[in-house]
Amino acid sequence: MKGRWRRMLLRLAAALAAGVSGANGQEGPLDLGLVIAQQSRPSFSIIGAGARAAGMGGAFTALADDASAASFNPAGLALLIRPEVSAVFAARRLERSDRDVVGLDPGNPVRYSDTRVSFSTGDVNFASFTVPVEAWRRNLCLQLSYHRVIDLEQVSDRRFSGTPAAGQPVEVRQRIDQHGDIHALSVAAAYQLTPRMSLGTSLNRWRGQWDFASLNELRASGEATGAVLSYSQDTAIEGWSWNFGVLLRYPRLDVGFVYRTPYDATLTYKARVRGSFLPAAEPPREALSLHWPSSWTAGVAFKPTETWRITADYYRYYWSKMDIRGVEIEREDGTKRVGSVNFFDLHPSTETGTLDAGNWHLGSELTLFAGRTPFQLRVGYFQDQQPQGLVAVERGRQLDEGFSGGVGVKLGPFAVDLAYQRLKSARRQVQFIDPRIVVTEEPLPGQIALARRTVREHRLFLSLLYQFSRATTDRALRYLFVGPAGE
Amino acid sequence: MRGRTLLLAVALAAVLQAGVASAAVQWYEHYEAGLAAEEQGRWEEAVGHFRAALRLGPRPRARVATYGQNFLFDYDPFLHLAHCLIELERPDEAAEALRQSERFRVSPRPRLHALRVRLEGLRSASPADAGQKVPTVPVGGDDEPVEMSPSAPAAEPVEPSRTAQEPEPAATAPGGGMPGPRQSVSPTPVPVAVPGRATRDTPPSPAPFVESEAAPPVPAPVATREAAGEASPSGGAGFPGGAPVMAAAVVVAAVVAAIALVVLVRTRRRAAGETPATLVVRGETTQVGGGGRLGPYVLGTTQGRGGMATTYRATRSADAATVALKVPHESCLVDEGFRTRFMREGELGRALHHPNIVRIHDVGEDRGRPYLAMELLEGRTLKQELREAGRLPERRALEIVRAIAEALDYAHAKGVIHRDLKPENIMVLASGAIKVMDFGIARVAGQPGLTGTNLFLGTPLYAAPESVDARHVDHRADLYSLGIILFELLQGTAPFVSESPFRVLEMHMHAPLPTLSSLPQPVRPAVWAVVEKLCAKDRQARYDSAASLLVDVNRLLHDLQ
Repeated sequence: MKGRWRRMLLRLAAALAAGVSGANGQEGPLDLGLVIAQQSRPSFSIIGAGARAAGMGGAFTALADDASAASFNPAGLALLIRPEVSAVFAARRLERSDRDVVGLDPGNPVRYSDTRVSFSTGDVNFASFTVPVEAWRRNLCLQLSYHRVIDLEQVSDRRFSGTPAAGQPVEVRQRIDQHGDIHALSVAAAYQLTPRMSLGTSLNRWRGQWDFASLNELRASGEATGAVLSYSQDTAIEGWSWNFGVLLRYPRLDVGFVYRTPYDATLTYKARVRGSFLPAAEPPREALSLHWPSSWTAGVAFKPTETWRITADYYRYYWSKMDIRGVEIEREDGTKRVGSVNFFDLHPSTETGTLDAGNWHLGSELTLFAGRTPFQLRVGYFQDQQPQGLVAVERGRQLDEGFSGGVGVKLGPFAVDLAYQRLKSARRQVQFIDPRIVVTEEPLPGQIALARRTVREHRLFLSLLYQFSRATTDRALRYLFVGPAGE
Repeated sequence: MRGRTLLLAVALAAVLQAGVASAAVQWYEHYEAGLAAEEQGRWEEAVGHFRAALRLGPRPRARVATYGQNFLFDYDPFLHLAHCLIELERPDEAAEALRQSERFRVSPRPRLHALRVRLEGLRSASPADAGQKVPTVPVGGDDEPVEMSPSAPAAEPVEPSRTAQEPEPAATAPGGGMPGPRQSVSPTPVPVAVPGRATRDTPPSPAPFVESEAAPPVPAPVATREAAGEASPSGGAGFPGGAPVMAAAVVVAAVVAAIALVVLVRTRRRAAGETPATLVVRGETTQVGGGGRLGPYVLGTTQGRGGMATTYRATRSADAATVALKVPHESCLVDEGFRTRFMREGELGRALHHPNIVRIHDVGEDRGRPYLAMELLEGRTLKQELREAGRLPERRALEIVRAIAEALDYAHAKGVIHRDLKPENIMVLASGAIKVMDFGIARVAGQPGLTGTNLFLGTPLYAAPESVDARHVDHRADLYSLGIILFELLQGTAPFVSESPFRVLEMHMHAPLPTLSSLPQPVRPAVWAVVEKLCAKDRQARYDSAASLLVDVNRLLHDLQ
């Protein structure tokens, strides 16, 4: 019984995720990964923090020379010679429209009305405290940071109607509230090995917590009631990982490389479900093991002049290796085995159709001066391949494309940066229509639909940075580890 | 593997060796440390830092980027170097440094002039030092070295007395906060040369560079940094030699590692104590109560399971006849109309009597559970046959297609469209006979207003293009599916394959069939023409009926005889 509930609830999560964000077309119905990947945010790529980097399209691995460096390349911290505190605020607005929605029912196609939802969120995205010290006559820089890596806030409420070729029109309502995030607490250290080369590492404590609640309804027009389903789930994720970075600096060129280790995280969730066509249930909290794969980034920064930077980063994510482990998999002959399934399509790991992703980020920064006050202008372009390849109807991967721009100014010990990013993606994909899909083995005709989805996302970043005298931290460290002078 | 490890170790050792052999402090850190040492009168130390900054860093410039958004303004290590050398009473080196400073034109002329005055005073006081050899100082790391020759131009003789300087704005680096050269506003007395002290730190001359307002007293320098336990020259954490910092770093790292280890162990212990999570990826069983009986049938082993129903081997109590009993999944029954449609379609299928169609004997319902009793066949599905054989000989493929076409021709004439024709629904009996299963059953899965076939229950490898967009599917959709099956029989694989079912569907709609010449397995043009006609995207271009197809298939089989 426990297994049945788990199976059903996972399917619920998947189906509802698809319903709101449009993504359940796989052969395997238990698209748990979509809870994070699809329903939670339009982009699943993990990019570092900071308005300066955001203005440059996220191409910052080979520069990484400010307090947000650890989130891109921890080796860049070794360049800092003054203590710094920084905070980054991020706000985003997402607009999503679905058009040309047609029910997947060849015998009686249903045309649904267009829908458009939008919502805005904002929060602290990053905060850090960085202290450089000297060790063995070299610069050793330490940093504590908080990074809100994945924003899982989402609110939407949409109603639309469907007109079948024959039969009674239907009304659909889909509402979702989701709050939470996945963040990382990091301790980073960087060491200036040679004047050309610095090495860095960070130990990251990943924690995620998000609550999801939805209401789905399908009813015939004019009818007071129909198939109604409410579903909620709170999910948590925990794990540790390491990042290793190297930075090489030449007069006209900087080169950076970062490797992020794989790690195993615990993923726990508790679901509650109530529907007009099934009994209410609140099964116990479940726990799974989630394997997060390694990834790496290589970047270059070209410096044509003292005040002009051109940067390019290439990110590689091995999403095909992102697995849920220790699960029971049923073979075709009905027997079962314990193995792992891919996080995104829930196919056995050896048969997954999830594709690895390679993302390009390009950026540029130009410094101008007003007297002795430097201010920067930045632009960037980026392409992020998302791992949900199976849900797209059209050939090719799901690709998010974006542009960015930003400005920054340095006023004494203060630096203020502002960046704007605009992402857009358009594709045909599958939509969930009928809440009863959660109790069917596989999608039945009419329970899902094809739609042309357009997503526009606007992001705004504000970074504040303050540098203070090294003497302050020197005194504190001396007090902590050495004692008063003369002792 | 061992070779790779060895290579990695050697590379790492080389990198570490390079690191150990080099000074690993940034040029701007040297510069800042030099300014700090200069301010505190540690002239020798300051000279070392300024020379390092010149060796590693860029040429003197009015504006130099350091890191982040930090810039140094009026970056002129030569000026400060000259000052320190004057304090150290090394006039020739100071003269060369001053000459370089003048060459780059970064520092204001009055400041240079002040130093020039002091230098001449120094020279006049110790003429014996003139002409000594000075070292070469490379500038800018990758730039050409600058020869610090003793041929500094002689400055005009100046009275060794007080020289008033014009006030200048203090040069501090905004943001970087690095102290710039101090502004000289007070008289600069010429120091008296002390033979034998040129290489030692000396007390600063009274305020050579002092603040413009209420200058704080310059701390009295000491002979050596170590003797006084001074802070490190680069202004690091202020620890002697850096060793305590390393000890502290090791302690901190150990504490962090210990915490991480404890958390990791706890996490694993907790995970080990829990029941392993179970996630059944696929498969829903049909629970049948009543002691394994359904109507007049006693259920036996499971024969198969699909998206909609489970099929059991069953025995009829009355005559011990063995049948295949198809029972819908419980989940399907939540749809109120499902039971009605299931029964109706079962009755329709019951009316089909053809040697190539699996017979439906009985349709019934027991305790709210509908069922279909079908002819029980011993054999394999065409899917299994293909999986083992890879592909079939042309003759066998055409014979199978002929048998299916005969079944379709019969069913279509009775107004029944299969809608889900695929190798899994075709049985190959031990005798070689072909039987098509599940006629009309797929249709059952739909709902009023949302009804249709379950074409998308699995990968739509055999779905006709009109399955998505067409308002009506007719018997020609079955012919398209049969064309895809024929292709697979001949080539061993379906023409449109992708990891995404919806991508497959799109390929059915838009992607052309491979050309005859590109096929991996040779096919006779006449046979290929049949495949192409069956697989036409436009249903108008296909055979208008299964009977028309049978004419061509029979002709092809006749040609093979």
